[in-house]
Formats: sequence, structure tokens, C-alpha cells
Amino acid sequence: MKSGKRIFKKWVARPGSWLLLMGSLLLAPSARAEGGPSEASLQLEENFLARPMPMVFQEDTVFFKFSWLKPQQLRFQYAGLIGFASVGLGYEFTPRYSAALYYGVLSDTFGGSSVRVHTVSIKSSWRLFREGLLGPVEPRAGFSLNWGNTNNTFRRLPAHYPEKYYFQNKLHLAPFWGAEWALPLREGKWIKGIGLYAEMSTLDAYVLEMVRTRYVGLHDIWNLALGITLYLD
Amino acid sequence: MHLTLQLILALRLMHIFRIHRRILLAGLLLLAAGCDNLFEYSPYKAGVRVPYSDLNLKAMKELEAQSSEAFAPFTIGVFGDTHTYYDDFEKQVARFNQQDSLAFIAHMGDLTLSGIYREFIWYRDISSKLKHPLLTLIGNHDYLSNGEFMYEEMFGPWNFTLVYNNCLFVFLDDIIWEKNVQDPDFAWLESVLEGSEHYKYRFVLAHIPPWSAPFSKGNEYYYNMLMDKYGVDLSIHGHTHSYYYGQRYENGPPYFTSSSSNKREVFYLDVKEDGFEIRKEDI
Repeated sequence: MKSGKRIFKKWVARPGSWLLLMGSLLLAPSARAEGGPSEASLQLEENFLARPMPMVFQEDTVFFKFSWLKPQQLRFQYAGLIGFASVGLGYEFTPRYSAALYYGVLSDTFGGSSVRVHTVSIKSSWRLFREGLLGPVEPRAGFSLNWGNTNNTFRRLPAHYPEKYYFQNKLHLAPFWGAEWALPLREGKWIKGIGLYAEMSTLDAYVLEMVRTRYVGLHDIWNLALGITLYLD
Repeated sequence: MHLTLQLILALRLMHIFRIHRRILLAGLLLLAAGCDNLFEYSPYKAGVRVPYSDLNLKAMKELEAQSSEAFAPFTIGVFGDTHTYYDDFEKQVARFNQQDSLAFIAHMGDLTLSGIYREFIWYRDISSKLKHPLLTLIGNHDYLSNGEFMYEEMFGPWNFTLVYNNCLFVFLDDIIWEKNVQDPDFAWLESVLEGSEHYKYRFVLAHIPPWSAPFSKGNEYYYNMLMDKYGVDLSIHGHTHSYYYGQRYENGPPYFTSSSSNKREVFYLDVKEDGFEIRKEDI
């Protein structure tokens, strides 16, 4: 267990490994589309994903399908408080609401931070206008729940502190607004569309200072994130 | 990546996708609005651009050039616990700038509330308006998140000393709980105080006063014992958010704590030939 952890840590520490991971993620769909598995094996795989799996909770049986976990979007983001670069899996729940789970990394090589920071983020976003109202531009807003691990972050205070000495600082709420420029691709491909997005986001702590002080103004708290969304078929 | 490069890249992308010129202009305005820190990778980032680094070391170099071999009277400004009281902090800076003859200003620590990236940037932004050299101590809040490392890059080592006009100033990092209950580096403190008797005065500056909760009874006693043993003239602190000056223990030096910014006070330490004096000024 311990050695496995060490190998993982070593792997994470090498910037080359990140490039490899990003590259393989990008190349995976094309490999499948071109060479790809045969029709039969693809059928089998889809059957497996769609097969209802009985799960028993106490006396209730719930039928769970693995296909529910299949994301509808794959996102790549630069900056935006969740690391130098991040990868996200997006899920469309309603025509208006979608959510995404991101993992982002910030390190010395990627982003110039002397301490490496891993961030996991759940982003909820709402479409602000009816689909197609502004053509391919789709304004949206929402918030992220960011969980970052650092040297001195905690959800519950360690035992040596008096009660309520500090407020928890592991979870941060990050509101955002922005827009995506969506381009549909030809049907029948693995990817049915591609979107480029830009978002301005801020952090709960920064909003608080904007409210509390005159020094911090509305224009001081925002930062820009750029990203690509791949819409999966 | 350099900001200009990022802008060029963004423009290039916009060109490729033939985005309307007005959208492009609006975008550019948006970029210009908050250009300084347009891209923020994480509130836990610990890394600053070159002009922001080693601020204490740079100020000390400046002070060494001004300092004289023999004692000459001087005054320093003292404040601390600015946290996110930015409006009051700005007023303190303006008040210090009304004084012409301050040797330097000591910030007694807690320059942030949560030790996150932008709080450090805001501190730097306001304090850069000071016309006197500034030396910043680390406080317990600055240890939160990755603040400890951000502080190190932005200011320099956590413990440091300065000799000014034949007076010794010892800046001690005495944060305990935020370092998982680690005692202050008393060995280092003793090593710099040992053989310092030839200086006209010796001042020790540390964020937490020894009677405050993070100090155990043993640490409290030991700290004051060191002050007494090496004949320190004054022990200066912050942390308590309120002004105090007095003989705290039976033996040892007098103690002084500066208040937090929201109390709207600034302090001066006049170091004279025949002793020193602390002055409090309300804003």
C-alpha cells in the first residue's frame, strides 16, 4: 500500500506524466473512432453499460446503470481558481442545468507555485437564455464548490485549537458568469460538438471583502478562466 | 505564461473563429478592467512575480545603507494585525506618510485573514504606498492555507535580525498551533541574543505575546527568562488586537502589544540616548 502510494506520488511529481495523461485523453477518442473495436464488441460494451444492476439498500432494490455515469461532456480548463489546468466530466441534467466534476493541478512547472495544489471542484451552471436565442453564444452563470488540499487547510479544526478559532478553509464557494461559443460538428462522429468558453469567477472570501471594505471594489475580485468543452455523442 | 502572450493567443483565437468585432472590444475592455491578476490559478497558490519577492530583505539592504556605526537617536513606526481591515489600513499608511523622520516601520504580523493569494496581493498593494522601509513579521493567520510559503517568497526568512544605529532588532516567528504545536525556535533566539550586550539597545519583535493562549506555561516562562537573561530592553508584539504597555512579569523587560487596524491607532517607538518611549496616536 505504502509503496503504491509512493509510486503514485513520484508519478504525479513528473510534469511529463501529466502531458502524457492529457495527450492520451485527447487521442483516445480518435483511436476508437478510426481503428476501433469491431461492431460486436462495441455492442457488448454498450449492453453492459445499459444493463440495470440491482443494488440492495436495506430492503429496497434500486436498479443502477453504469451508463448513468457516462459523461455528456469532456472539459479542459485553463486557470479559474481550480489550478493551472484542469479536466472535467460534464453532465446535462436538464436543458438548462448542467454540472461538472473537475480535477485541477497547480505546480512549480504548471503555474509557478512553489507548493503543489490539487483541487477537486463541482461546478453547477445554468443557461441564462433559451437555447439558440443568441445563436451559437450561450451565456451562463453558476457556482463551483472547490475543495483544495494544502499545508494548512481543514474542514474541522485540529484538537489543539479552542472552539471556533478559525472558520473552515478547505471548501470554497466560487460564483462565476461567462459564455460559451458552441460549434456543432458533423453527426455520426464520437464528438458531436465543440465549445470554447470564457468565464469570470470569484471566491466567497473575495466577495466578503468587497462587501465589507471600500478598498476592494467589484472589479478587484474577478479572474478569467478559458476552456474547451467536447460534447460527446 | 506572460500576459501579453496570453492576450495575443486570445486575439488569435478570436480571429480564427471570426467573432464579431464588438464582442472582441467588449472582451478587451473586460481584460483591461482587472488586468493585474487576470488569471488566478488557485487561492492556495504560493508564488509571486519577481518584483514582489524578498521584500524584507530588500528593505533591510536599504536600512543597512542608512544605518550608522555609532548610536544615533531614531524613531520607528509600529502597527500590525491589519487582516482585511483595508480601509483602516490605508488610513494608517497615510498617517505614517505624514511623518518625515521614521527610520522604518514594523508590521507585527497577521497581514491576512485566511492566508490566501489575493489577500497577500492586497497587503502588498496598500503597503507599497508607504514612503518608509517596511519590515513584515509573520502572524498566525498568515500560516493558514499555503500562506507560510507565500510569506517566505514575498518577504524572506521567517526569523531575521537587523542592526540599526547600533541597536539590535530580533524578528522572531513564534507561531505555535498553526505549525502543529511546535515550540518557537528558542535555540535561534538564544543564538542571536548571546553576545549582543555591546549593542546600545536590544528589541525582540514577535507576533504572539508569551501570555497568550498558544504559549504553554513552560514556553511563557522560558521566553521571559531569555529576555531577562540577555537583558532585552523591550519585547514587542501584536495578536491581541489591543494596545498594552507595561511590566508584565516580576523580572524581564516591559512588554508592548500594538492594536489591530480597526482600532485606528498607530504607534511610534522613539529610541533616544537616555532610554526609549512608546507613543500612541489616534487617527
